[in-house]
Amino acid sequence: MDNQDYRELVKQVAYEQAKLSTSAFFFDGQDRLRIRSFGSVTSCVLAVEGRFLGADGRLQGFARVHTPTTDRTLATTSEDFGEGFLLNVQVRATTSAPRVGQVFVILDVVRGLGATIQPIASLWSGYVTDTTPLGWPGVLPARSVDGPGVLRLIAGTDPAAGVEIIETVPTNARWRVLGVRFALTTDATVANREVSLTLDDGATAFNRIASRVTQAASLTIIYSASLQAALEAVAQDTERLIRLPPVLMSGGFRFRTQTTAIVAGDNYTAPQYLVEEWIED
Amino acid sequence: MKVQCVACLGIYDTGAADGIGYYHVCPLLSDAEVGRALGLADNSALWTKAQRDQVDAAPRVRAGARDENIDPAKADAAAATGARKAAVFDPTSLQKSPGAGARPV
Repeated sequence: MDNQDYRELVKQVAYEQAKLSTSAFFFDGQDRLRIRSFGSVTSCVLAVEGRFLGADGRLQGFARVHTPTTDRTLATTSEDFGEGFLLNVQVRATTSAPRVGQVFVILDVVRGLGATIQPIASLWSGYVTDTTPLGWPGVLPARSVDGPGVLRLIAGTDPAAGVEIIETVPTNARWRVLGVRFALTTDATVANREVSLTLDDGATAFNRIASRVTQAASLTIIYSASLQAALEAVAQDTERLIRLPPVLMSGGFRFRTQTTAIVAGDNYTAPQYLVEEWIED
Repeated sequence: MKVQCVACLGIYDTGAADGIGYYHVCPLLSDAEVGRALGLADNSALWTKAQRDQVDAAPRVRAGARDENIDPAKADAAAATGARKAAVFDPTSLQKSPGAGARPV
């Protein structure tokens, strides 16, 4: 047997082994690898890399590019490899540095085109980062709301005088609000304001938590809402505490102030708030 | 970029400090704004019960209210038609409601 024959034999054996392997997925020529992603970070590009054993017995490496959206909506690409075996595929961020909770990827195998695409096998799903390539096989698929999310400190809208604070969970995001901090400066109108935080689903309130201590005229008071805040009975200098409920909020849910006896000259600052965030489609 | 909402006059950055997009939503009308629109005294402590009831019953949706959050139906349609991949695609076209708009400050 010469070298050429030996190489052919090795290829044939490899191809046969791939057919029997649990880490080889057969593509019949109509099947394609579909990459779907939901991203929230800017300038993120993903590399989809792996190995494919073609019908000719040649083992080929591949590297494809996929660009997620930045607004948590769906981005889809699909890759055609022809006939053969997909041996492995991994995904990593090549630009930007997304953290767990920011770019969620789903890899599956589909057949057909356009509106007639038929998913036929789910390979892997999970969050992608720039430091740890993950993929199939060997890594368990995860749901986008599994595990801890990414921590984000956000500056909200600074409302005009006489207007309440409102902040909304973005579309396709899930938040756990961990803390909110804002100040209210009351004008000279003599009345006792009481600040509450209301949580709703975009329409119907399901929680309203009052600060329990009123604020008189011509004062600036800072309000801090957190999961661990003590229920205070008396004013603490210029700080007030509000205890947040440990609830998860989906896209469209809101938290907002509701102020008893608010007048046109009362002025809130922009809220600063800390959230744990996931992608949620 | 810092902008001001034309409807509620709130001021905000279009991107959060971590570079992720911020989606402004106009607040509901406050008691103070409703009272003013109804011609009541600024100080709500001076309102009669009838006036209080009038405020409570008033609609709270602000004229020209803006909701910059992505409308999933618009996003799906843009993806299906390929509009999203166009070189001149305007992402603000996916907003739930541009309302009265926003201007740079």
